[in-house]
Amino acid sequence: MPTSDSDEITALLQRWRSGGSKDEELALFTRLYPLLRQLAAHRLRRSAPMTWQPTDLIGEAYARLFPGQRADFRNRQHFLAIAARVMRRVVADHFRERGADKRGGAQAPLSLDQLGAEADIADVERVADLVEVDRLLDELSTVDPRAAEIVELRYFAGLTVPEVGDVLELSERTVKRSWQFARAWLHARLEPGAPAT
Amino acid sequence: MAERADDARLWARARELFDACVDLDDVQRERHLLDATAGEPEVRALVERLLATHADLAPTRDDRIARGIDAGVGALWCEAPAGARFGAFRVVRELARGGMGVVYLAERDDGTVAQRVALKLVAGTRFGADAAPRLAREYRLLAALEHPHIARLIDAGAGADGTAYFAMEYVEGVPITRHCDERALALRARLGLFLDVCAAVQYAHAQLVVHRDIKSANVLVRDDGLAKLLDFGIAMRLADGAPDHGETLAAGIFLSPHSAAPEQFRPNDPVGVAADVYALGVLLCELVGGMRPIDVDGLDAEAAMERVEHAPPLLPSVACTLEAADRRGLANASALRRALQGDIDAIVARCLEKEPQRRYASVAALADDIERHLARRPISIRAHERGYRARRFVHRHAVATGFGAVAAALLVGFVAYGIVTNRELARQRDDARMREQQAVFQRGRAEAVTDFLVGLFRSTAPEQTRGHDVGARELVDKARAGVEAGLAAQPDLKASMLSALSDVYLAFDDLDTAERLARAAASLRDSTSTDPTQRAAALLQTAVVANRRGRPADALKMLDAVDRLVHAPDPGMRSRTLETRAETLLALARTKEAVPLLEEDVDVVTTAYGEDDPRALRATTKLAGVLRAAGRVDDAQALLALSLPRMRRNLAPDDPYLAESLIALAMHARNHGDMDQAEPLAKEALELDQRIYGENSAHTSRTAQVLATIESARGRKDEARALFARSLAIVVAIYGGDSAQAASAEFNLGSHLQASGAQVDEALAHLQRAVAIATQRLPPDHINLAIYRISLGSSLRERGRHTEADAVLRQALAVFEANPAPRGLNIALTRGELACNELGPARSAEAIAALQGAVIALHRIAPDEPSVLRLDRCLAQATSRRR
Repeated sequence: MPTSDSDEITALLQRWRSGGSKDEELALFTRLYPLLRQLAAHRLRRSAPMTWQPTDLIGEAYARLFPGQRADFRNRQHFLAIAARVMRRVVADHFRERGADKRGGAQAPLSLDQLGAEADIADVERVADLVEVDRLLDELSTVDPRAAEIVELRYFAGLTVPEVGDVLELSERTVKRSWQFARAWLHARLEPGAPAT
Repeated sequence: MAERADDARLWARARELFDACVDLDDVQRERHLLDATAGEPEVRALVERLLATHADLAPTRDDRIARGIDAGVGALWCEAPAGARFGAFRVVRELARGGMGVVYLAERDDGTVAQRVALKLVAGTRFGADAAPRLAREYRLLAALEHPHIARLIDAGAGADGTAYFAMEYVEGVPITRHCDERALALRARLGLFLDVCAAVQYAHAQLVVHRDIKSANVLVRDDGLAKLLDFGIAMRLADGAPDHGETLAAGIFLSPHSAAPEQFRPNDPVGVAADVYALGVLLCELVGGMRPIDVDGLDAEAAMERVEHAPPLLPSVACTLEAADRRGLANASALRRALQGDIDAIVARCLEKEPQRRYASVAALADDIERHLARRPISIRAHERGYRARRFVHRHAVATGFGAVAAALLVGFVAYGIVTNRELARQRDDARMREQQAVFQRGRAEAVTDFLVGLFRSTAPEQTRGHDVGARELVDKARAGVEAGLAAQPDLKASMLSALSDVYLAFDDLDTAERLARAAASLRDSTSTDPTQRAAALLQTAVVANRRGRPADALKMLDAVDRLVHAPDPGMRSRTLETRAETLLALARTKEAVPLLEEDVDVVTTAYGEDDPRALRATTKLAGVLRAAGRVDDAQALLALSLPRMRRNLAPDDPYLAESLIALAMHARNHGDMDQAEPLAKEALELDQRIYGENSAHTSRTAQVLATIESARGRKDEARALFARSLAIVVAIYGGDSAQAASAEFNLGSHLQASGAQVDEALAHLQRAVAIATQRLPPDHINLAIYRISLGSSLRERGRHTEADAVLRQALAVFEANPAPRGLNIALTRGELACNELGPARSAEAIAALQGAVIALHRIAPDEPSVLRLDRCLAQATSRRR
């Protein structure tokens, strides 16, 4: 049975998805952000480190918010679209805070026991700066908002190309084209002058 | 490149072209883009870049952005909220995370005292079943450990939600490897810290506690240099005997594959002291060499286990890099390699034995060997090696021993040692233990012997002994005979030594021997070595010799081959290649091309070693020399003016390059007509060269020539003549009477005699020899040959041999006209001489006019040139005869 929370969120989602205003988006953000962050923070208790998938987390958030509406396909698609964007913020904010932490002279966390202890230093080259990715996605959404949305769903919600097509009601081919281009552009911008790997 | 998304038109256009091209093959793609973007180079560049990026991308789940997201969300997990309480402690922030849980910085919050602790949480749900007893054991173990290099346990308990926690002494530090690298600690300091860690582990072992997870991340070093071993989280009591099955499985989950011993991967093997010795070996390897001995990066548990069990460890000296050397305060990778070969390699190898019982029996034994190494005493595990103790002795007394007879005895003894030991090892081939030791030490010993010998040879080269020891030649001759005749079983060693010896004989100016040795080394390398760097080094030596033998064309071919063999040479190799090629180009009269090479050389060595390093100062001296040769005397002077004070500070007072710079300065002063300044500089340089290189050396010869020109300019004809003659005699002795160097010396003496006007026949004879030799030795359009020909033509003219003079002068003129110089001195001189020569038989008005023109021009350019004065005389005679 839907909670009053979920009714409210469903309404917000519907308005937002049918071309709603920034207000709805902000309201959804306000609801989802703490939830996703908290879910991420508590996952250690439930699964091993290397198996995380963004879909799991968002799926779990959805299950929490809409305990009785798993079958509502449309609602779930709307939810995924906004949740991907929220995830993007959660991750970017996390890195922003880490950055601020380091500036304050704090000790950077170490990965103690995983394969490649201290790999955090070497990994810097293979890992994109998520704060920068966040900024580039803002830039992207000013010229091609659909491409930005596709990128969010692929990366931050972990959806496949056909799944993105379902959420955005676009053909698979259109999604693929948009995605290929936007992804190449992002990587090229992330690493000016060098091939992005 | 314009690629910002906010340029909507560009974006749309790029998007359209990208879509059209992305599925085409390369050829179609290029054609399409060329057609579609005519007049839009910006769009084309952007699309090409995007297509290239697209082609290089990893799968979406594994590209840089996906990894970044994984890392971010991974870090968000198990974020204990700041402020959460565990016992008396309140979480401040996260410090680290790992298989056991997460470590937070926490503060005591019970109103008693201010205390910061490292709070270690283990999430209950995941590890609940076996964590509780483990944590209880950890508490008992840790509480019993009190040592300055072990982080203390302060409290343990369970939080409100049942999460077990440990509060440990908070160590505000960084992992030991990072600490050492950030401070660029030298090897000695690193070994000192390592001994602290050993002391902590040794202490724990005495309490019957093994750590089982020693690694750099678990050894933090505070700012004040105090090392603390953390996290006895998987330690177990030795007294408990073999662990039960469940525990080993749990241990398997927690082990760190980079530092875990092979037996730690095997569920049923006992894990004890030997595992800590192994992990200490890994740590030692990282600390001294900068690399892990076995790389298991990116491998899953099974593959990691396979590799740890079977892969031979990479000993610290093997993987030395310039960066690692730099972080240890050493100039280059080979310096680090030399420091690690021998003892350190052997100690690490002993720690990393695959069989636990073959490792050091205790951490105390390991620490003892490190201490022995630091004190330069023989280490225990190498004591059986014959000759090893003797070498230790030499190292320990290196300063006192010096380079005299003791060195000679050791040198010969060491060559013999290399052969004998090899034979002995061969005899014991069936003894498996021996064979293994041979494998471990063979490489180290061979290179140690090479280094040792090369060091001795360098010490016997005149640059190093600086003339103190006349008997050095004898010593080296003896060693050479030994090396040439023996060492057949060790071709690598033999080739290194032949190359090094070739260099030594070059310093002796014994070119025949140097060449023979260099060739022998190169052919040995070609037939036995697959290492392109070694083959290139041997080839480079033959090029150096070819240069000295006056065969620059051969040298050039060899240098091209060197460049083909080695693509990223170390700075030492790069520098030597550049310098050798520059010399070659100079010999080929391609002076201008030599300049950028030596500029790069200065750049390479200054970057690698710093601007005060003797190598940088020497490279600068060489560059100044070639700048001078290229006519850029002011640039050369500026360079020398900059570097001379540095040379006075950083080079020994009798360093050869100081002599070189002195002579360069003397020449500069001379060329500016300041003979008062030039003379003492040149005399000092001559004295230095004689002392450093002996009388029969190229350096002494050249400096004598310079001083001769100065004396000549001061009008001291006899002194000058004696110096020119001395220089010629030396050059003939060294290079032979038909060498390019002899040609130059003949010319100098001849033109001096010609200018002084006395021994006319003698002058002519020297100049004829100069031209004859140079015709054989130099390219036909070499500027030196042409210059020799002016003087020869002039002499022939004065002897009335006008036809010969005309032919010689016209050959010279053709060369000068093909390469016109700014001042045109040589052209004017040659034309003047030709005109003067024509005056002899015909005395035409036309020739007089030509001569007058040339003389007027020459007076503007070089009024004091002796050859100009001769033309003056010629003109005066001609006009008087006309009258």
